Amino acid sequence: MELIQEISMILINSVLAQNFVIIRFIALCSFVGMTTSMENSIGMGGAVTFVTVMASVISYALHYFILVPFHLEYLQTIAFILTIAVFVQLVELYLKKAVPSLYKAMGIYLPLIATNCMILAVTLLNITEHYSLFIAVIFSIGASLGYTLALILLAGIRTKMRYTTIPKFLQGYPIIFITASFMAIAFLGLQGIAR
Amino acid sequence: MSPIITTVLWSSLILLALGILFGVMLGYFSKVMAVNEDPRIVKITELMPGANCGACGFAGCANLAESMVQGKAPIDRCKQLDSKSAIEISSILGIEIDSSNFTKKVAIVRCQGSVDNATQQVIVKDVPTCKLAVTLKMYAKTCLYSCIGYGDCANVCPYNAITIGSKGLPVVDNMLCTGCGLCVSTCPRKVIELIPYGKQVLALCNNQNKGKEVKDACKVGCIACMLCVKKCPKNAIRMENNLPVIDRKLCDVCGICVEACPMKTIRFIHEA
Repeated sequence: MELIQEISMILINSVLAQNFVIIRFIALCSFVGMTTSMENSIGMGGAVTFVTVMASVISYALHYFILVPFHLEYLQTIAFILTIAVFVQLVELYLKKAVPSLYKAMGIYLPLIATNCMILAVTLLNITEHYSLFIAVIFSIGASLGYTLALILLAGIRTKMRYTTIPKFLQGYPIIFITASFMAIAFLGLQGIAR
Repeated sequence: MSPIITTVLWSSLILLALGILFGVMLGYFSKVMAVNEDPRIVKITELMPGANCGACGFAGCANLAESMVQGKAPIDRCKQLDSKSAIEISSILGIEIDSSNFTKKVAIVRCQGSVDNATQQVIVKDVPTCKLAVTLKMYAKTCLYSCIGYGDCANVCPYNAITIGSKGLPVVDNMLCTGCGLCVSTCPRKVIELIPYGKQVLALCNNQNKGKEVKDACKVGCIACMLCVKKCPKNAIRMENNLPVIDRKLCDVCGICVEACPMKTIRFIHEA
């Protein structure tokens, strides 16, 4: 029972109350760049979910089986970035072979996942929060679900925005950041449901 | 050994080991998951500008290269290709192309109806766009073929290459212009045209009327006197709709037509 409670708490926390994009303002580049259409943001969310979960498992193992025994915890950042980059390359190779249609749809954004700040943030937080491997996986799933949710929400708003008249000095990125900040205010209301 | 040296040694050793491990892994997987790609696609992708600008409507240069191989897209779909790469691509694909299509193109405003030259019928103020001016018939100049000068082209240009000059005519910055053609399709009077960049002679007028009407409307409009046609030693000029059309293949830019033109309509452009 306690485990279920902890899992649901972590999920709610990472998806809504501590949403990586909207509350913590991490991974804003792809948040702004990939929300031009709904399909784009869903595809990006899927790819990021996959990479985040796999990267957090591998970086977890890397940290506890290699870095801790050698007392090299300060190598975390560089070692994790290395892991993420390699993993994104693997995903790219795999997609190219197995699902060429998705590979084409992702285009240039697939290699750019390697520089997605959220994945590094999740892997680092797994360690600093002293999560167990299982909870770390749950946390990374929640974080990437929250990321996908944020992307889909903004993509929806941007679709509506095309039919509205925006003052010239706000056109383009300014209005997107203003929208994002309003979304952040809305999400602040969810703070109370998390412990 | 001092502790610092041990630490540095260990950390670099671990990173080296990780790097080698990951490298071998990636190398192995790239062999296992190798996709037999058409080698032509790889070659053409290398010849592309590589800016992934997306102006062609495809998702990046690699995607356009693939469509070219499949025959879905023509080579000139990429506006930034230089003629050398275009010729190489055509030889890879086995297609004949006209390499003159791949020289740098720039927009030119074919009108000299500035405030000094063109006759103004009324003073029109506060018209925001040329398109609106045409719809409402609120334009200052009597010439119905002239540049209206409210700057739709300058607004639409994504590279800020067009500005409305002090004489009320758009000025194209040839260094900034990429020849995308947005201004050409925007101009309601069809005054702007894309031409290959380079020294040449061009008749800067669109007025399809004859003599007197043109003369009343503009000091520098073409009155269709055909002096240029008669004087041209290469027979490169012919008349179409009362306007001289200069054949770029025959013209050697001798400048006899420029001197002959009584209205100073034909001019040298792109002089270095």
